[in-house]
Amino acid sequence: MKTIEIKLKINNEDKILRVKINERLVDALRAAGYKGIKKGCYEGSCGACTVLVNGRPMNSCMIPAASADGFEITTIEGLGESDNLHPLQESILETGGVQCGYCTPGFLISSYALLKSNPDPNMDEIKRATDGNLCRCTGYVKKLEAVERAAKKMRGDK
Amino acid sequence: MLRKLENYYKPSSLQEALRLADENTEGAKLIAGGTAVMAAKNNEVKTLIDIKNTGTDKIIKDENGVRAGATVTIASLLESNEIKNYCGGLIYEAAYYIASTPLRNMITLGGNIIQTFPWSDLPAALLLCGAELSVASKNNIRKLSYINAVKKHPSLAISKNEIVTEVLFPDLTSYTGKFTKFSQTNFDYAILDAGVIAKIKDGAFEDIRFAVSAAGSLPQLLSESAALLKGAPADDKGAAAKAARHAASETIFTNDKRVSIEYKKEILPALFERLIERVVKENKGGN
Ligand SMILES: Cc1cc2nc3c(=O)[nH]c(=O)nc-3n(C[C@H](O)[C@H](O)[C@H](O)COP(=O)(O)OP(=O)(O)OC[C@H]3O[C@@H](n4cnc5c(N)ncnc54)[C@H](O)[C@@H]3O)c2cc1C
Ligand code: FES
Ligand code: FES
Repeated sequence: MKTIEIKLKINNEDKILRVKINERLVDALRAAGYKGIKKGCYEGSCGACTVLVNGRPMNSCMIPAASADGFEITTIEGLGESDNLHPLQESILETGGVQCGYCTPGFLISSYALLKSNPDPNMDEIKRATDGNLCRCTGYVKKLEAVERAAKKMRGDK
Repeated sequence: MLRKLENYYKPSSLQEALRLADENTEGAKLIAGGTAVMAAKNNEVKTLIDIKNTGTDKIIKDENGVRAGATVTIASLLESNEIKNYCGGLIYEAAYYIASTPLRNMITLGGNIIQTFPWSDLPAALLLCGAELSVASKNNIRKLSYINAVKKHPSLAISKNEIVTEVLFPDLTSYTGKFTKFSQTNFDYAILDAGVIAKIKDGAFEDIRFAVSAAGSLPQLLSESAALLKGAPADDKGAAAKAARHAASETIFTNDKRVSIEYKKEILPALFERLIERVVKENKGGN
């Protein structure tokens, strides 16, 4: 299979990746070491593979890697480190919104995009922003609460 | 998976895209949002021509109506005030429940039109407003009414070397339109989509149109049912109920493994009755 080189920014770092011409972005990113991105349905339905592309959440399983030349990508690895968690990562642990954790990176990326554009979302807005991130374990309540909680922390509310 | 893919082009102008489409008619495919192209198991495609950088992503209002470029995403449609204000929110409401937030950031207007599935949400709204497509080829640009495009299937109404560049939502200043999607969850495919637009003058329906999709394989305009209301007083609930019931018999249904045709026939009149009620209410200055 033919390969090509793409230049892109991943989590604010310039990267050059060699990708197969028919590869999907999720596979190219995982092969480059960004294993936080998960692969679930591979057809746009589950949201496990959600990354930010130029600031907007998208399903990386539906994006040809070849089209990503020039993209700015944010993955879960770009949010926080294990010793310096992002408020969203902290909050989802505090509320108990993680069980198997497979959906967590995609869910947090969608929530991160929401909080960047809307620091004080109501519950309907949180649900709408995360409507593409399916979770088979938690029943959603604690995850959604985590977004509210993180928003408060980020605004500096008590 | 596109197992036979050999070339991926991402032209930075429409002219370049049209030239590539003209030169690569065998085994070539346009890709916009990619959400249908990437989902298909297609072993024929050798070349993809990505049209996202061709500058066809603007929404403008002029004396003919609202013009939206074919690569405008569903998310951008929803962010546009021109679209929000168009025909009482008809297109906005049809776009609102398409797929999910990440997918709405990818799916394009042109892709949604060309890859019409039975449950696609925009088509019924496009029929109602009489949308017109601009279709370009290397040496030509033609207008194609959506009603004609959807007679067989929009993908059969354009040639391999053509690109849809723009959709005109014609000026419908004196109309109010409402749309509803009936599905199991917001992210699920429609079990039924229904829309109504109407022009109300001196308290009566001067013009009214009904459309439905997710009932058969293509969207349908229900002109018999709408005709039952033409000239009727807008507050005549009995006439509205009769027209809504007729919609269930006028619609051509095809089998849907999720629910029975009988179930859809029960639901559809209720959707139309509620839509008519919303149209009339908004016309009186309510919501
Ligand atoms: C999980 C999932 C759920 C979805 N749910 C819904 C839903 O609820 N409602 C809904 O309406 N849609 C829904 N969709 C979207 C729908 O199924 C199609 O995938 C989408 O509309 C295609 O648009 P696109 O821009 O991604 O097109 P692409 O995949 O890029 O292209 C689709 C087709 O159109 C052609 N094409 C694209 N643009 C042009 C153009 N400008 N000129 C000529 N030809 C063109 C391509 O060659 C291709 O044949 C969903 C998709 C997924 C994956
Ligand atoms: S793996 Fe991409 S949406 Fe499921
Ligand atoms: S925690 Fe298991 S899928 Fe969400």
